[in-house]
Amino acid sequence: MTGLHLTFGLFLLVLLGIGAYFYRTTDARRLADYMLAGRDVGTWPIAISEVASVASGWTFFAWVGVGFTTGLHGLWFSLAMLLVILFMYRYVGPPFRRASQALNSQTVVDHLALTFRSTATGAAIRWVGTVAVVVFMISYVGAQLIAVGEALGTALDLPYVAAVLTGGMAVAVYTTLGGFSASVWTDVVQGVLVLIAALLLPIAAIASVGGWGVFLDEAAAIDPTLLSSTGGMGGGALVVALLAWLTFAMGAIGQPHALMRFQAIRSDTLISKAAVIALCFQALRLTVPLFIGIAGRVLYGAGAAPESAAMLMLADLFPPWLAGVLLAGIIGAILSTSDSMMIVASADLTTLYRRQAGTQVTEGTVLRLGRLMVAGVAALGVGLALWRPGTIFDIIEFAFVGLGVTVGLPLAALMCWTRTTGTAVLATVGVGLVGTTANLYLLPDLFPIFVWPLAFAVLIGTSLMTYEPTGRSA
Amino acid sequence: MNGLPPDTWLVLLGILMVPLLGYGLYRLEVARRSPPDDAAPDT
Repeated sequence: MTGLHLTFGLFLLVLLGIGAYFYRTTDARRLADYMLAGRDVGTWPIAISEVASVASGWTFFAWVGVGFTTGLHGLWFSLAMLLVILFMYRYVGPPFRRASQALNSQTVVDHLALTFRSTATGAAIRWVGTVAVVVFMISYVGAQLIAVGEALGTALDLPYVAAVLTGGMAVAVYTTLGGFSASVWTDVVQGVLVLIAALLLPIAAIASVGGWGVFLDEAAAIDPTLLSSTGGMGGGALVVALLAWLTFAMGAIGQPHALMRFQAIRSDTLISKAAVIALCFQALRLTVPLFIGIAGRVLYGAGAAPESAAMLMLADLFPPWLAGVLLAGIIGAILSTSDSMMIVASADLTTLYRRQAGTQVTEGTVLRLGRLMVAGVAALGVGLALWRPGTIFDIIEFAFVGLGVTVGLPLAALMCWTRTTGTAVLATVGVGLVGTTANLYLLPDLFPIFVWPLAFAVLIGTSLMTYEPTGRSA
Repeated sequence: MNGLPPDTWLVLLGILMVPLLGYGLYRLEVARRSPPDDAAPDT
């Protein structure tokens, strides 16, 4: 048992303590309180927890791996994603907050379905949307738990299975107990730790190489294209690569666990300020890991595992107690995403059940079911992590783009374009689910480039064909 | 010593500009929401 084990163990206890605290103190007699914390969360917790909830295993594993293998070419993704996030906070967040309160919607799928509740289209949107969210969310949670397995295996020498079970059980317990309140406040703790890790890791890594100048010299000596935003490409190859990054980044339009923050914020007037906080934090966490990856390439050579570079640095460059704090930050980025996803998937499944069951079902039953669903999603995520069907990058790309197309695009259209019809929303959700899944097998490297235009064409075409000027069309 | 290439600096500058743009839009929204100082109360 080292200082690293002790510090990390303390972090897990803090998370479980937050879950237990909200279990005992929150008046969660209604599902809305459990899922959306009574729509009374302030600006800072919303902004920090939103970033932490999307930071995921992506930040310190997949994105570090991209920096390690392709260098700063990934900065185009960072820029595109920041612009998409700004669009979401400006043009989707405020109207979504107001409409969500008016409809009393709990999740994005619930909102889409309730908007068209007077017709059969609304019920169909709920069914197809819930299937899509559950498929993508379980994939996403599975990718997070693979990252937990990697992280704890490298840093604490835990066997992969034990590491996945430890992470999966910890996040399942505190989320099941505390619901959305626990998710937000553990995300805030985790967000601060992510920030510390994002600042200290590159500083220590570049210092250990010999400083900024030596770092750039050595990186250029290994491969000059590592430091170029073009990745050494030109012409058609560069255009295709940029399109691939752009269409991948567009997934940020529809991450239900991030969109839920808009529903839970105290007032739509706070969203503009939250945007500034979130954008600063996002700019940092989308840029720094690429430099960490390049530093990893310099320190460990091309033979090291790209997605584990940050973990190797953690063990090599820091005293055990500080490594424990940074490990908590890295695991925090992963768990904060997992807990938010479990809440969303559980909320959609539970709401589907409640709408089907009608008035016969009590709030207490629904709440217990919600907790059970959180545990169920966690168990399926653990199963996927043990199966391990792809790299963290591959699985996250699949889920991220899939959620953007099936959930984010219809919601953004609903908020920004009054001609959006229920039939168009249903068609987009369906085409997004099928198109993302099919293209993953047909065009694994470039599937986002083809899924987005298809979904846009379906949304716009169907809306124009089915729109009737007298009110919101089914 | 090698530096970062100009194309990389341009993308990094773009990344820096997005939060600044967000801040500018936030200040504009605050200014639009609050009444001007010399507006007399309508009593």
